[in-house]
Amino acid sequence: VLLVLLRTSAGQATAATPKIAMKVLYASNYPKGASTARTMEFVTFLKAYFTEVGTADVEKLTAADVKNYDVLLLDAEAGEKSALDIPNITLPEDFSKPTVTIGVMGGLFTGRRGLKTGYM
Amino acid sequence: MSDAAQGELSKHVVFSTPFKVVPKYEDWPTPSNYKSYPGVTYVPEKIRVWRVQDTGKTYGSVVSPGAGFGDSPDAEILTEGFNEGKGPHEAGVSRHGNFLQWGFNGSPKQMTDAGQKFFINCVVYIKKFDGKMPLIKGQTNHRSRASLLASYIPRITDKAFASQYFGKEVLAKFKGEPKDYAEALAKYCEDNVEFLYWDGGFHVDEDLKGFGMVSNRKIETLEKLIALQSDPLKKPVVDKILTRYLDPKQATPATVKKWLEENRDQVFFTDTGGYKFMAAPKGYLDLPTAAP
Repeated sequence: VLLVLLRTSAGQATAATPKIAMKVLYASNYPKGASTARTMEFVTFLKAYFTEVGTADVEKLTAADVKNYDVLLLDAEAGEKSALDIPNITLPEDFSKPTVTIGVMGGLFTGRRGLKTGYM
Repeated sequence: MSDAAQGELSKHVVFSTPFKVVPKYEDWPTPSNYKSYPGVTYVPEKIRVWRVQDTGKTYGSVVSPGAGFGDSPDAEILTEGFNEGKGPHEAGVSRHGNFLQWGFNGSPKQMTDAGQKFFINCVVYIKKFDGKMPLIKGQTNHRSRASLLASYIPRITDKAFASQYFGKEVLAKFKGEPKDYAEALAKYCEDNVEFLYWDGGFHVDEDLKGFGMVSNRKIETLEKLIALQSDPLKKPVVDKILTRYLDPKQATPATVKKWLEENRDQVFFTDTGGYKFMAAPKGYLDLPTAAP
């Protein structure tokens, strides 16, 4: 895909930019409380690049929710007590959808699954 | 991890497709933790980095352990992460099977232009791995951690620590309390690194050394062991060694010759996956990652 980008002050592609023909699902717990801003920012960012962007609550996420997407993005905020207090994500062990895990939550999630990308 | 990726860009497609990532390199003073990290013999005074994000913090993002990424063909480090708490070669952004870990914690507005493009490229890149689940799951310590763990012994108050990570026959080579011989144990592990394996703790494969082999993780070793099976006097020990390093779901001493012939181009040895020779499924390794 050859893209010629016009840039906004935030560095994101503009609405006029040809988008990448991919469906991405952004799952987070940010819609709760004061963290909504991060979710909105990510969704706006992703929508500037991809043809379809969905959202989901990471704590209720199932493999079926991801079925019609190309890539899942997992992002979540830790609890107030500890940075390691992350949502319990119950995707099956044989989950094979392409997935981008983000930050501490991503490292802990993949670490619990025995992956090399786990939190050190 | 800080806001920066470490090192110059490789020729990996993730830095060029669909967007060309153009980082602004800086040379930052090498963190003191790199210099004091066990097993590290040389680090430069400055490290070349590029900012992926600007959060204004030196912490908050996470690295994954760099050791062991290269021991199975289903995983790769896309960039190392500059950090002030772990080792000098930890993963900032990495992939294992269909999972890509973006260790940075910043929001899109906190990302630099290069960081945003890298992020989008990562989303595009991981799409290729639909259905390509990890071949192994990390279940054992990589051998490079043996000397590191030995060096920790004097700092750990739990007296069972040494026996949790090292076999009895290994510890029996030293006299006194573990804290007193930790340095010698670390050196012993480094000297025997090619013969280390994990079985409830680190062991040195004296059986393999006895046959004059140079490593337990080379395919040439597997070939030599298969050849030695024809010697009736050596076969019992050879089969014991083969059993140690074969994944019974894929091969046994009785089937290893045929298995190796059929899978030679797919065979790899993994420490983190259990100190086993394994074969990737046909077609699994077909994806090109180098930029044209």
